[in-house]
Amino acid sequence: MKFQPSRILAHLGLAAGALVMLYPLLWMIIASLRPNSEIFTDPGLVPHHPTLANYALGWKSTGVSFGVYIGNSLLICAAAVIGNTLTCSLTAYAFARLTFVGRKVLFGLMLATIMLPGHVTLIAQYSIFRDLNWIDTFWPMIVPSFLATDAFFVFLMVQFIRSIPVELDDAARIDGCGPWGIYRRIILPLLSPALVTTAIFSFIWTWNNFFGQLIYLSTRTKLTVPVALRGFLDASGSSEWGALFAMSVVTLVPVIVVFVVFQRRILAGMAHTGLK
Amino acid sequence: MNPTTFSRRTLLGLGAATATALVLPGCSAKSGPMRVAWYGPDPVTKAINNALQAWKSNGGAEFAPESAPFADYWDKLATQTSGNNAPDVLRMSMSYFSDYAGRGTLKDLGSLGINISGLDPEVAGSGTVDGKNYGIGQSSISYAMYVDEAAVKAAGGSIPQQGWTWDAFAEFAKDYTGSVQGSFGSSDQAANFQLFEVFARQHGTDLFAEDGSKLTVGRDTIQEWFQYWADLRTAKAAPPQNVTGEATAIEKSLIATGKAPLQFGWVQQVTFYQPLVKSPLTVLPVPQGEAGDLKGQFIKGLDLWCISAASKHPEDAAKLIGFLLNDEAAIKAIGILLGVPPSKKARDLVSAEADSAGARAIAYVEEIAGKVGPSPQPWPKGYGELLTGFGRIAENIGFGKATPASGAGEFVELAGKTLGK
Repeated sequence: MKFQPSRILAHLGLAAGALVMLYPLLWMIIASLRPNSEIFTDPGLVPHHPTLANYALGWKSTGVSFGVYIGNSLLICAAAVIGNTLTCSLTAYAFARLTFVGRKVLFGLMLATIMLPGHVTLIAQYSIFRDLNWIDTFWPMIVPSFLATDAFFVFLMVQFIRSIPVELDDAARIDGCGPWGIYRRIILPLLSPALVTTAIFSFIWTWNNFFGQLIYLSTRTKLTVPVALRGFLDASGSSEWGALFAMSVVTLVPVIVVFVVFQRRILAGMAHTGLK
Repeated sequence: MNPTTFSRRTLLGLGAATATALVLPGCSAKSGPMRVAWYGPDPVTKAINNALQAWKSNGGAEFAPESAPFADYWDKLATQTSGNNAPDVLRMSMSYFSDYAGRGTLKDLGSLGINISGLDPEVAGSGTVDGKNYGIGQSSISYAMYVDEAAVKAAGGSIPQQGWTWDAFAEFAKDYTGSVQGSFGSSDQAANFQLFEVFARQHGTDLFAEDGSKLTVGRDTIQEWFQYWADLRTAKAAPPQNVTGEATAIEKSLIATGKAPLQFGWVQQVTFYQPLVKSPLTVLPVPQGEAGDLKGQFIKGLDLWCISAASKHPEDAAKLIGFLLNDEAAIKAIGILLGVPPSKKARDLVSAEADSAGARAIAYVEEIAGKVGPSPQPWPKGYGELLTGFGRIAENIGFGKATPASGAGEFVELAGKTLGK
């Protein structure tokens, strides 16, 4: 093979860049293997007394096994993924293909909710869930995703459906499909890249959603991963950094698995949906 | 927290929200068990849970505990309170107390018959506003400094029994910095609003007017404070701002990393620092204007037990608070995790472990009790904002973006805008 200095240089540059990007992650993984007293006193990347004690401590120390929090988070994420892909695609189909009174106004309203900061609706929303007696249950995290409240995904899929030729609908109609049939047999299969994108982002955003879960959940056995992780830190007292880092590493695993498994499809989805 | 994801997830269609809101207000939440909420790190949560277990085994009413770290607790409590769903019994910090009491969200405990006879009078009265008692102190605390005496001795210094005067402290810090490589005589406390309160009182005025409507401490005193720490930084007796900016958590503090021989804080926090320092920490009064004059300091209950005004279980809530303050098992379970206990009885019960950091904290409070000045009124509404603002201004001065004079002016202006609303 011919010696190509420019290529080697480019690779070196890329490797250096990747290392810079990865450094915080590496640091966290290594810190999770250090005794608490060494985490901030030893700035290097080599653990001198590597130990797995933080993992054992973090898993147990809150009095509830960390597995319970992971289970709760997975449950909410699964619901969000199913809810968002089903209902947002259905809503998007209606906006993109069906004609009904007030379509444009409703579509505008829906887009407006994207621009509304969450803090504005927080109290009103909290009051609603309180009146429904849903505080300290998973419902406030689950039900909204089954009502297509995530306008961003609806918008994403509307744009996608608009790029599917209407002639396909017409052909299906000639073959006897009604609106439901067109949605199920034509739109849904062709929508799959957008559905995958929706599923992945629903998962990651829900997995990382700290604030809603903090506000609505209180009982220890109902807490989710982000809320439980915050419990390791408290500025007014001592923080269990080692346990925090160890459990953060554990928490990354599901996200990385989802990402690795669906990586190809995410890219395909992005290329198709214009989410470049 | 990623703000985008937050707004995305909590986004309900506006129309849907209003429609439901119009339909639903008629039905109210059914009253479940009494809810007990508090903030604090993990050890505090475990201790209070143990105390609640004692309450349960003594036949106390059913309850549901809720806990969160300090910062998150206030986000949650604010939402719950405005959503008319505040916990029945709640831990309240003096920093936010007037905000909540002033908005009528706390119950007047006067008629509920909580037994406070054994409590130190300053603490029992810490939550009194306009003659109404909205909260009962959980602890008797005072400001203090913790000194690593072994490190000071190794550097050839010594510690005065009653603490330093500010001048002597500056001298000490300068000398210490010279003697040990890579360390500083003191951490930089310019941003410490709570220590500044003591400094202000040493200069003759409380921080705030009696009714909390304005600042009473003079602009020149604020300037003098910022200047004092600026001089220490110039003399290398205190670290530069970038070092201070990184020493934000207890584990990262200069005393924990061996870069300074002392730290300031509320007296009970010595128990959080002690495990990180090898030799025992001596608890001392903070520096004084005149040697031995502790009138600037005060003893107060800065964390309170409160009952929310909308509580459906006020009697049980009151009983529980009485239990947590007076029952032997509860006192032992809590120990000094909420601060030095507010009654003689409790202090005697928990100080059993001789020469622990906790015992030293208790001894400190008992030692200075007769010498401190009168305790100030509850911190006024907007205190939290001033606390943050003071720190920000001190930081700007530390980074050279402001001078002590301009910083003092900025703070006076901020106080004018924030207080008395």
